[in-house]
Amino acid sequence: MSRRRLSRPPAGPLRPSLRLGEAHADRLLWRAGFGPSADERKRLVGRRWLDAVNWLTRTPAVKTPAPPPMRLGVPIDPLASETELVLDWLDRMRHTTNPLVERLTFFWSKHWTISLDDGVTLTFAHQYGKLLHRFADLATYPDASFRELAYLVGESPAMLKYLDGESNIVGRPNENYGREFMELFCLGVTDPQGVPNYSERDVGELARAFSGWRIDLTDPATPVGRFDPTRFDAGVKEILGQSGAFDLRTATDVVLARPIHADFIVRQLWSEFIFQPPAEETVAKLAATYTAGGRLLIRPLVRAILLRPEIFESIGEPNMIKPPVVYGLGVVKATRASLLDVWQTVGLRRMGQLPFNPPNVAGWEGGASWLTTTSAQARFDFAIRCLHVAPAPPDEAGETAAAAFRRAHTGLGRPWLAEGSKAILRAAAAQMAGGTPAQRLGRQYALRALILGGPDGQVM
Amino acid sequence: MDDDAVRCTECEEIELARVRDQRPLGTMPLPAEALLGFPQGSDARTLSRRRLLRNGVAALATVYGSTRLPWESIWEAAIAEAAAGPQRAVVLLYLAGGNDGLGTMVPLGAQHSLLATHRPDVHRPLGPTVGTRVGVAGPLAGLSDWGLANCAVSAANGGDITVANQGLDVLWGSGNPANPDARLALFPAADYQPPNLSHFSSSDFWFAGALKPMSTGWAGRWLDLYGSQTNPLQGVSIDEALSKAMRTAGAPVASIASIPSVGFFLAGPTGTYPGPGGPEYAGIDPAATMRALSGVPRRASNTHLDRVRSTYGLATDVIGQLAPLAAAAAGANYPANSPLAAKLQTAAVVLGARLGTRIVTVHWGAFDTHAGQNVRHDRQLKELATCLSAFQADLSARGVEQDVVTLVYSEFGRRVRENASNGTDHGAGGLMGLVGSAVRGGLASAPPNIADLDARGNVKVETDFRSVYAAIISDWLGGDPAAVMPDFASVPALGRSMFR
Repeated sequence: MSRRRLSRPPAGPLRPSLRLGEAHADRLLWRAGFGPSADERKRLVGRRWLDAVNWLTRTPAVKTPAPPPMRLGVPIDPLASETELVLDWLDRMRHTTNPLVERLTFFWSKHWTISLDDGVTLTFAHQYGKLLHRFADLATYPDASFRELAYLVGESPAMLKYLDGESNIVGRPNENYGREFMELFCLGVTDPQGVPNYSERDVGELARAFSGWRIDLTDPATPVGRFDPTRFDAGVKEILGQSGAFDLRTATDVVLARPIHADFIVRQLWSEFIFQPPAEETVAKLAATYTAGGRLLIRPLVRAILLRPEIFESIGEPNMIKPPVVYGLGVVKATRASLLDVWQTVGLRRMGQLPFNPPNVAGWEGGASWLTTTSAQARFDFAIRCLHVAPAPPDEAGETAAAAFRRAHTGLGRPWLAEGSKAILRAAAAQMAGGTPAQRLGRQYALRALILGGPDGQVM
Repeated sequence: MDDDAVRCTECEEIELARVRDQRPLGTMPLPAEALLGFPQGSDARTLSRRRLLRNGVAALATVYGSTRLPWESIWEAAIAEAAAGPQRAVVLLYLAGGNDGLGTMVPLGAQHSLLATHRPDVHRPLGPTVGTRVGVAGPLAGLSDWGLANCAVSAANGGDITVANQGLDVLWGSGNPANPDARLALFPAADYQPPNLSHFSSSDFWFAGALKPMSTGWAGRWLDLYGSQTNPLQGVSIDEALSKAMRTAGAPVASIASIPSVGFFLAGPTGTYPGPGGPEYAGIDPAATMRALSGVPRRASNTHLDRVRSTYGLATDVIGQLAPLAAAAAGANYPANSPLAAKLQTAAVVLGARLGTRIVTVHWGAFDTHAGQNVRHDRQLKELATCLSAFQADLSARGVEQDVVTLVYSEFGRRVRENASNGTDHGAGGLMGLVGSAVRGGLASAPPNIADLDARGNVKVETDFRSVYAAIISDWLGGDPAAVMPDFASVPALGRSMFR
């Protein structure tokens, strides 16, 4: 079977035994990673879908051998500045063997939002990133559960600082974390029928159960969330219809036992990978996978979503806007640009998504809202700039316009382009002068910028 | 890090030019209408958010300050300022890295011979430029023993700049403060005592207007004391982030990266990357290509691709509508592919809109010429000279040149003796310049004496930079220099008045 044939949508129903063509491999690598490098694509093409997903969910996070990230002649120190904290993470996203690990870490950082505002230090954020990573490295921690993640986030210095858990004290409850815990992190405000998932009283009672925690900075390099019984409200609380002298962990259990929780988390995770909302029966099926045995394991749910046929929907015409971080990494990988400069974090901010800098506690709105006239400009500029810090394409004397377009496309790893777009770019190439080496180089840069930074480069 | 180590100047420029710990409060859209000029009799009620934005957003301003202001109240303030009539403004143009004062304003005569012995390879020879070796053609009008590097001088005066009416010599004119043609004042050997040769410490001092680190900048403190509490456009950094000079204790200020959005230029006149020396893309209109790409058909159910394509289409439309802003004012003639030109053009648009802007900061350049100084310094100096000339013409075309002065400065000068890599290391006593139709030009402070260097081989500082700030505060912007700059009492005043 030819490669061209493989990249077409298969006629029959999608089965886990499907052998992946280039389009399917690329789809998985965009949705579960940061776009395909040549090696990553080669690893998946021709493999069965099931095996590819098993590989993604069973391969530990190992950074491929690469020189340690350096700036200004010294190694990057994520604790030195916000820029370096972000660059350090971007470098891991770029060089990780298994992209799903960093992609899932990134998902958790958007879900369990913190921001470097409001007293959250670089140390807190860096430590928090490591915590989230444990719940994304599904090979190393196959039993990673949402429950344990919820416990540890609630006890983490970053979250205790960001949502005021450290000032939630018996007699003086602070409801900030308790409210967001239910609204944003675990349940949602209402169920799909519009019925509230909790009451204001539940918020207050949950806040009481979450009291008693403070940040121990005895060793400033390793801040620790500590339980202090003198600050804890030990009384009986009534949360979501249950009574007890709940504390952070037992109250978390009460919230996570609500049937709506599985529904909520299934939808959240689904929308990270798949554009079309899930059918009700699909949600029920995935929720059953997630709650089996009561442990709320992450790996089976992620694996089941990546094996849903909807992930390959519209395979001939990508239908999800790349979030800025995914787009940016994709450009860096396609151009083989260096990735250690301030302008790259500035570029992410202009595109609207700088890690650890969500607009508010609800995180990024995402979806269609990523694209505005100014962010489109920022995306285009980011591509241009990456192209110009990457190694220049070699000169091909006497190259025709058609060959120039082919080389630009191939040089970027053959990213998706609509047939209509290819025709327009071929026509543009034909308009461009190619008589001198400088003109031919300019033609390559122009075509590559239009491929990466133009409309078709924005979807995955 | 070692003061004198050779470093990557591009990275350093970025590092020096920004404040990473000043967090923005948010962004605000700048309506194209506001920048093109409000219609007569407008007020905030008629210019509702929706109405203002209907004609397109020219750019986003990032807002800083202590309190989040509602968008409407910001525009109410800006419109009120616009209606109040002309206000004086200063542009602070920072040459990052330490500009070589002695390679810019060059001694002639005996001092030149002495400089040549200190700098056999780096000094500028007397006479016209030969090949790539930029000389110094002759003395500035009114001076006998100081001239400018030819790369900053018009061909009419023997220099290398061939664009009509451009060059620092043109701004200098007769050099006689009594004459209105003298629009450039020069302050050689301006710095402070004792000089600190770390980029980071020294630029902090210049930004703070004090010889110690401070959490606010001198321009920011002036705004805190004498500025508005409601209009962030009173202080604008033309950058992705706020200049340290502009940091306030509470007053709102803003940063604007570019106006208008530069468009999908692959390389173009507004200085988009890759900038000078980059490849050209002849024969293609990127906007037309982008518009065609945005019109490619798609499947009906693909709402995200629809959003992408329609947004790219809208972006090309908005950019087209804003073409009047993108175009330099008639006669401005900025150099092509110049990042500095792009920044100054943006500054001119902001100042020309008269939205109450009093202070603008521009950070630019990679003047840390430890190695291969001549080529890099020549290129930047020429860009500086042509851009400053074009900026004056631009301000003039916008009718605000009488109200704007531009202060050009760097965190220090360079060592008199060259180093082993055809460069110079960090030195004391750089060159400041003040440009504007309202400026009384000419030589404004004592030049250095190369026969009388300090123990490290640097020129002795003749002028405290804060005395120039003080003149701007007391005689141009209005205010008490001592209230703005701590420890100001010890700084001697300039010997003459700077403004007409």
